[in-house]
Amino acid sequence: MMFYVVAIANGFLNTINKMVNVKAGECLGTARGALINYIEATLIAFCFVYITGKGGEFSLAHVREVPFLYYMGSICGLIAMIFLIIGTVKAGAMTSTVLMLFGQLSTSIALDYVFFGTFRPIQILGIFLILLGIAWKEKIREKEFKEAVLNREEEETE
Amino acid sequence: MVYFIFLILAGIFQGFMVSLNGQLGNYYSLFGICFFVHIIAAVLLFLYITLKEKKKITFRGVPKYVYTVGFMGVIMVATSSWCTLHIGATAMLSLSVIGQMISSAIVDHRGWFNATERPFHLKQLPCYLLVLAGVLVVVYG
Repeated sequence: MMFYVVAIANGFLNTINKMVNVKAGECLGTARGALINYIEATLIAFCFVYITGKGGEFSLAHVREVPFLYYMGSICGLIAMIFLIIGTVKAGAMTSTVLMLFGQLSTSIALDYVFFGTFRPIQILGIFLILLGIAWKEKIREKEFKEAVLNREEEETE
Repeated sequence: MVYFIFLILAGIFQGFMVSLNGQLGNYYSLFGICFFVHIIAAVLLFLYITLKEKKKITFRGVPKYVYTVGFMGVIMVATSSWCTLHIGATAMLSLSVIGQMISSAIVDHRGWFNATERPFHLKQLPCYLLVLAGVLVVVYG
């Protein structure tokens, strides 16, 4: 249960983090806005590793012990960001949200099978419902946005 | 069409990111994972800004709350890796989606962070319930 609550809280924090990152991007530019995040987080994490007495993790022998592939997570994150920026230029908000989530969740199912050996076909139905819900919500939002723009235009012409 | 492929690829790479970061948890403490995840990205971005953009790196002139992004980044990577290791990436991502939807609705409703105020309407509720049903199927199905 604890993990479920933390995962939902992670989603909450994700939204706030996105809003703050947007502000950082506005003030510093996209790349430098992201860099401030990574530098700060690196320093904080470094300090906490030593505070919690796990400094041994930084020994070269231990670092080499870890399969190289596992360090590639952040590079995947950067590649994802590039694809997202390119893709969102032409696709609308709804399409980009749904397609990205589709890619994310299907990859997770595949990788859960690879790393944990777990696969439940019913999860595919769950993912379909999530995507349907998100698409529906975005459709309503787009409609509301268009209505708001039309109302504003009407008020201005009056 | 090619843009749709880019977006699916973005999602695929994000899925890889969450899963691989979770796997680091078998070797490192939560803060150790955060360190490696962020330092690799920081080095790559630093190289990009200095070599490609050829811009001077400065972090001045931002509102003070922007400096909390690092703390949030650490908490987010630590919690997502911790949860992925215990409940799997699919459940972690699905639950995170519902958290993101609720918090986005609150931010939009209140107009926080200078966002355009978009009040929550009851007609949106079925969409949230549908997502919740999907998440329950993924987690408990």
